[in-house]
Amino acid sequence: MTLLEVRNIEMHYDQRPRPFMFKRGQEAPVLQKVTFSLQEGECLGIVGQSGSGKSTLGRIILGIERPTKGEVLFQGVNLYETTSKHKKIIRRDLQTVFQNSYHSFNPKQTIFEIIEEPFLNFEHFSKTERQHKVRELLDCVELGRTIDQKYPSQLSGGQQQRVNIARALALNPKLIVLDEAISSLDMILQKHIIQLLQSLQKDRHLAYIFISHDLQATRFMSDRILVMQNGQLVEEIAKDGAYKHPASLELYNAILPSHPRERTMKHKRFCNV
Amino acid sequence: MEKVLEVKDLTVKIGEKNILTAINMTAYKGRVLGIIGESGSGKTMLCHAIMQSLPAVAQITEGQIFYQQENLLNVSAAKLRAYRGRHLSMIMQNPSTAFDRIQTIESHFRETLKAHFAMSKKEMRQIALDAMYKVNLPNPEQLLRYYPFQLSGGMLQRVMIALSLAIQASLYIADEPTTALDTVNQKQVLTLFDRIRSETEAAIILVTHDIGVIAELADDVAVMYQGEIIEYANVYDFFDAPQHPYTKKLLQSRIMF
Repeated sequence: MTLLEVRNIEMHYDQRPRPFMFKRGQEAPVLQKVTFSLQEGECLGIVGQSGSGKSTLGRIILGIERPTKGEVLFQGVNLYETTSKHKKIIRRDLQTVFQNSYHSFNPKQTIFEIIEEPFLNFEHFSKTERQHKVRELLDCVELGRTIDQKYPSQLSGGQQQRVNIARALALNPKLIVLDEAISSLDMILQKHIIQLLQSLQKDRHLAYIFISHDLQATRFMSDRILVMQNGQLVEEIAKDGAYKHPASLELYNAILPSHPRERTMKHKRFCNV
Repeated sequence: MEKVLEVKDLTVKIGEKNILTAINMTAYKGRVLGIIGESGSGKTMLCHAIMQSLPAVAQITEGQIFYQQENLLNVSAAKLRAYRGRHLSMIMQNPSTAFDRIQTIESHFRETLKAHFAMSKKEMRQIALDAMYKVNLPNPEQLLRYYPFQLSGGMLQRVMIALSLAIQASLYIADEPTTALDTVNQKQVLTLFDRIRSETEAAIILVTHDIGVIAELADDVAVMYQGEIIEYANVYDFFDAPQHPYTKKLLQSRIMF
């Protein structure tokens, strides 16, 4: 079943009226004619260089930023034409994990309060029920239960990112938008988080939109990849498909080798001294 | 092979806690020494210890840092200042915070060059243009008039490398130079380091947490874990026959297809 449909999205910034003495800057379109759809339980990768409009697209899908033109249908409902009450119901099924985990927390809240918050907003649980649920979620992302009285600043980057994922999972969403969710972590943690996300996807029949500039990680995660360049979708690639468009090839060639034998550098050095 | 920098038994403490423990390593001319480790393993502290720009709370309690047979820990402050920038150059992780945002790119070049050479403005400009040309920046003349915030992260990182190229340092310390960049820019910056290695014969210390960067560029690898170097090897030995369990785990973490 189709979960999300994005139709002909266009986005321009800088449309505010300016005082007469300031010339209006050129309105460079950030997104142009972006159309795609997402099935339930699918993982869709969106890759592109920085500045290609990936994150803007992510925010539009989440309903945070209104596009200039076009519509976003989530489970058949247009995100930008519903009443706020209806939107709130949709929000349950639409969650996100951003790149900078620390900045997406309130530093004065404990981990328990952070994960509990979605329940306070959407459910009428008693305190013991909430405690029970939070513990379940912490187990789910493989964090110890003792962590719940700590503050975000006391956790490492990987732990913070897991708390973020736990919070996104709290309301059993159908879609999670992962905007550079693993980019700021080191290699070992990246692998952990990817494995965690994949097992959660299987268990809960989640759909992901995985936004990244790293084609390698994206290929590992996604069933289908969209390549963006200058605000346009330039290519759609199946999991093991071939890359044809120059923008995709550029990203593909930028993948670093896994062994020094596969080096692409001109001045190769074989320095077994 | 000619030694450029040699670190012997370097120990750094904050209070009673060891931040770096008995670090031994050598950077050779024309070679890239890759230092890899997870966040918090002391990679950045090591760079700052070599440059002697450690935060005030951190103390070097033991060890020597030899730069061309001279112990940097014993030289006078004036001499050290002459070395820094001129001979030892540091390339920072975050290009957008390493520049002064109310100075143009040209005045950054001027400031750096003025500190070490007596030159006319015209000469400085020429050197700046040459350096910018070397790092493949488009339209250098125009770029010199720009302010740092007008350039993208990848371009700024290349300007920073051009700054160190302009003074022809003999040791480059690059602290996570590509972490803030996207993969395409990362590749360009790495290619640039590769050129510096072969054309200027400088030594490069490259700090990173990405195994891919090591695989692409390094000649020697030092693995850091909790302030210690737990493995030190040639890059081929490092990939083919890792010794330490942590190194093995690190190599397995690479996402493969």
